[in-house]
Amino acid sequence: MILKPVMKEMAISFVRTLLLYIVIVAAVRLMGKRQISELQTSELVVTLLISNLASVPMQDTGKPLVGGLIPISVLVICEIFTSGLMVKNGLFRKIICGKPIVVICHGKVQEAEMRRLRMTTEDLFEQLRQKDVFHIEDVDFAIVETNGKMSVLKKPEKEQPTAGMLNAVEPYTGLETVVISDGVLSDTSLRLSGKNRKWAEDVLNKEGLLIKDIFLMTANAKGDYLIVKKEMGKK
Amino acid sequence: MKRVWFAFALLLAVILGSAFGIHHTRKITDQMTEIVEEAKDAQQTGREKDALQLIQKASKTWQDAHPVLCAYMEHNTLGEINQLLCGMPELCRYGAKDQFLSDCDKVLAQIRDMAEAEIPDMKNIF
Repeated sequence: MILKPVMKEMAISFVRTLLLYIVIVAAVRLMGKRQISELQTSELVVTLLISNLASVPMQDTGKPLVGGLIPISVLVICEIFTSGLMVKNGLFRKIICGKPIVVICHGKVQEAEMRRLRMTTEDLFEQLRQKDVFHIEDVDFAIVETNGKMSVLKKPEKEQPTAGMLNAVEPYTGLETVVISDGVLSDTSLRLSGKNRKWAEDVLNKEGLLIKDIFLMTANAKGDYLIVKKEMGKK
Repeated sequence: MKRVWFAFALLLAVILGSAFGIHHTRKITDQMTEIVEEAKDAQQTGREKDALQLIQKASKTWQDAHPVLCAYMEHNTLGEINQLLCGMPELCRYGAKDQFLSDCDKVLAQIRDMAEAEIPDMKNIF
C-alpha cells in the first residue's frame, strides 16, 4: 500500500526527466554547436540557467512541468534573437560580447589593457604556453578574443616554416573520410572524398571482403584507402 | 534563418500558452468565487439545502478544472483548495454552520490569491 504512491512518484520523476532531457537537447541543438570553451558570455549564462531551470521540475513533482519549460523556451528564444542580431549588427555584438583586446602589440606588452582585463603576467604566460609559445619575445601580437581565448601571431623570424616555404608540398590527396564504420557504408562520406558506392564495392571485391566484415575503412580523393577488419568472433 | 522562424513560432506558442493560462485561471476563479459566495449566502440565510447543492456544484466545477490547472499551477496550492472543498458538503449536511462559513472564506481567499498570482502585474513580477 505504501509502495504504490512511491512508485507513482518515481514514475512521474522518470517521465519528467526524460521529457526535460529531450527539451534540453533540443534547446542546446537550437542554440548551436559550440563547445563549452568557445561559448560567449551570454551563451554560457543561458546554458547554465537552462540546466538549473530544468532541475527544479525534475526533482519537485509538485511543480508543473510548464514552470520549467516556459523559462527554458524564453531563454532559447532570447538566445536565438540575440545571436541573430549580433550577426546583423556590429554595435549590438560589441555591446553583448565586448571586443577583442590586444595585450601584446608589435612585441610590446600592453600593461593598461592587461589591467583592464584583470589579467596577471602569470595568466598571460600560461595562455602563451598553451599556444606553444615559451618566449614572450617571439610574440608579435597577442589578442584576447571575446570568448576569453588568446590568439597569437609570432614574429616572422620565429614562425615555423611551412611546407610551401620549403618547397616540399605533398600532392593533394583531399579529405580523408570514414567510408565504412562498424559494417555501415556512408554515402555522405563517399561523396566528401569524391568516390561512390561502386568504387567502395570494387575495392572490397578486390580485397575479398564484405561490408559487414569491416570495422573501419577510410578513403581520400586520390583513391588511397585503409581497411581495418572486425575482430573475429565479434559481431 | 530557420532557427529565427522557429524562435518566432516558439515565442508565439509561449505567448498563446500564457494568455490561455491567464484566461483559464480567471474563468475558473470567477466561476468558483460566484458559486462559493452563493453557497455562503444560502447558508447564512438558512437555506441549507441550497448551500449543499451549491457547494457540490463548486466541488464538481473544481474537479473538472483541476487537470488543466495542474498543468501550469503549483500542485500544493490546488491541493489545499481541493481538501477544503472535499470536507464542505459534510459540514453543510451535519449543520456545522460556523465551520462551513469559515471554510467558505478560506476557499474564497485562496481562490483570490490564486487568481492574483497568475496576473503578470508589477507586484507579481518583482
